[in-house]
Amino acid sequence: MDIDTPADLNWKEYMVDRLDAGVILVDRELRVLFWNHFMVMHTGRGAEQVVGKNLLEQFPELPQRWLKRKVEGVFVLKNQAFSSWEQRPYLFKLAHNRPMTGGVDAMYQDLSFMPVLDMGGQVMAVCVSLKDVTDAAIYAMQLKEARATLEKEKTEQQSLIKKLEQAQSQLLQSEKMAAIGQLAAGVAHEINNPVGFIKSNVTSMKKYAHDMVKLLDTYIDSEPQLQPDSKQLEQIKQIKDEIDFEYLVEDIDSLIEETIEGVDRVSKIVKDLKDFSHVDQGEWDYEDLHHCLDSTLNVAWNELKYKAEIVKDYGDLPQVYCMGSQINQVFLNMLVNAAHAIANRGTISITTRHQGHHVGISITDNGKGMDEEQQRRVFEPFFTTKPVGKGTGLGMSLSYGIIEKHHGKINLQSAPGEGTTFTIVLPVEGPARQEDKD
Amino acid sequence: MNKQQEFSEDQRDCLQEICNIAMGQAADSLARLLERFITLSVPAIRFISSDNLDAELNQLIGASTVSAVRQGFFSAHGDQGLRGESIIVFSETDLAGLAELTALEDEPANEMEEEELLLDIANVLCGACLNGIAAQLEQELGYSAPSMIGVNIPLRTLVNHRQVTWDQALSIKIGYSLESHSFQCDMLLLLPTSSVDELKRILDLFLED
Ligand SMILES: Nc1ncnc2c1ncn2[C@@H]1O[C@H](COP(=O)(O)OP(=O)(O)O)[C@@H](O)[C@H]1O
Ligand SMILES: [Mg+2]
Repeated sequence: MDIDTPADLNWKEYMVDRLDAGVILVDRELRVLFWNHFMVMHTGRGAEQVVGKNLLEQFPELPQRWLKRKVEGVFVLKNQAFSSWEQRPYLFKLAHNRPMTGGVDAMYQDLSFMPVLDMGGQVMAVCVSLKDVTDAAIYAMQLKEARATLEKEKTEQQSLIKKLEQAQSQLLQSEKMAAIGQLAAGVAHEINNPVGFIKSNVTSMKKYAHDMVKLLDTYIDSEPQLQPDSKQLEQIKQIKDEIDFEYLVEDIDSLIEETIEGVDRVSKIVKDLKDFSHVDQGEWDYEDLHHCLDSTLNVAWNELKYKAEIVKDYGDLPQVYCMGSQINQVFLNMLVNAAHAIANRGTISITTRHQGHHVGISITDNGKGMDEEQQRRVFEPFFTTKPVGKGTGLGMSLSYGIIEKHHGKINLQSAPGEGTTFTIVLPVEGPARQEDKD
Repeated sequence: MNKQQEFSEDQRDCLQEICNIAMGQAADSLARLLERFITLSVPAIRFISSDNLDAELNQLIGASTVSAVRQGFFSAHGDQGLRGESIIVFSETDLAGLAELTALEDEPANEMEEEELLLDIANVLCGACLNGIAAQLEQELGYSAPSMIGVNIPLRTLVNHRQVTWDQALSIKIGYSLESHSFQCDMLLLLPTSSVDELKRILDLFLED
């Protein structure tokens, strides 16, 4: 017989001793009354070392308060108590059975605390049984982990799907915008023709009117040669009064001037619209950025005029190698954002500077500004603080992409309640040529 | 559909009386263990059917979000004996109150300890009552380890309808509350019809004495 097996065990006791589970008997003070072979093997402490001693003194690392309460509960209620690995992986920190395959730090245990009654029905001891559930626990944990991963992937997929949907509707939207742009370019072209001949006709008319007035003046000069009180003179006077001749002659000039001015404005807007909705999108060329800014201002005028006074501070800029229509797009986004940020009426300043190989364009508004979180997220696609229909959250993210393509930078300064400045820095020679210099 | 289960008047009175006495004893031993007075409601005995389980649970519990623990219990005689489950439903789980209830001074630090507390309390409440009932009927009960149904789950997910294999069950509901704490929990002792016949037999034996 093993040296670990006390010699005075009968066969029933011997069976309990050899059970493939830990069996410990303790009294109310947690003195150990029985300590089976399983415990000996796994703790390395023989029964003769432990029996008769206080369990907590022998194993000071055990959760003292918890264990006392558990055993006391069994004594008072005469009721079995339990502990599961799920909440408490182990009571005794024992080596596990997976030194090679691993996966856990100790043997996982399910415990039960059984009251042992004396003849009088009083609890005299508590039998603690300890089951090794390491393998089941590992399996359960892996399952749980797998489920959590699946769950996480599912939510990620859902948010991706949502983003895709948004992107798709955004694509539709930009498709629509592109179509409108094309249409606008087409319409602009169509308008250009009549505007052209209106202008040339009005210019001719101006000359004709001049000539006619010259002729009339000559007639008027010859009026004194008519018989005074003659019927003709009477008639002339009557008609002059009727048509307010003096005023008419004066007004005809300014009418025609105004008309020419109007036609000029129409043709300028049409031209800007054409520039802006460039069908030749994505063409690299040297552009006059001031011209770009002005034509963008013109296009956005409707959005801006009630919101802000525009203050321009243009420096001396060289021509910049860029994609004009795309840079226009960036200016437009920033100007519209600035106008949106202004609640009632404010100022939008546009400053341009040239320094070395770079130019800087700043657009400053004195609108509501952005807090830190907003500043961090402005360039994020779909980030918007505007109500549905007004904001898509794409403007700044697109702008960022465009400026990046130009090897430029967008800097941002903002304070809530005070306003915002976006500064675009572009290499004068565009991305490709700039690299040679750097 | 099975015929409607019912007790005879004698059986019902007897069971009610046994439960009342068991509750008294349970309250007593719990008070000793926890050094605090626990109020137990008079056990409410009724039959419930699985057809309208949701409505039944609503009526029994009332709260819509709960934390719950289940535990199986069984007498001797294998599946001829009494086999049931108790479901302990915590509807107003004030953890500070719970920690005190189990004489733990510190509040549970993490989710696992919180669950362990719920399991312990469920085991204690359940054992205290069932042991009292079993002792009077001269039966011996064994218990399975309690396990979590869930923490803060909707009441209607308490029982998985697809797993229910019974039509009718006996339900004994006991409410617990702790003086001076917002702690409220209900214990449902549930016996399927097959065990009810055994219970009736035991009650009849008891009545003969
Ligand atoms: N000049 C500005 N002042 C204050 N907030 C701004 C300004 N420009 C951008 N923002 C903030 O950044 C967000 C994203 O802008 P943008 O990408 O253009 O999308 P959208 O204008 O469609 O909301 C805006 O909703 C706004 O909250
Ligand atoms: Mg915008």
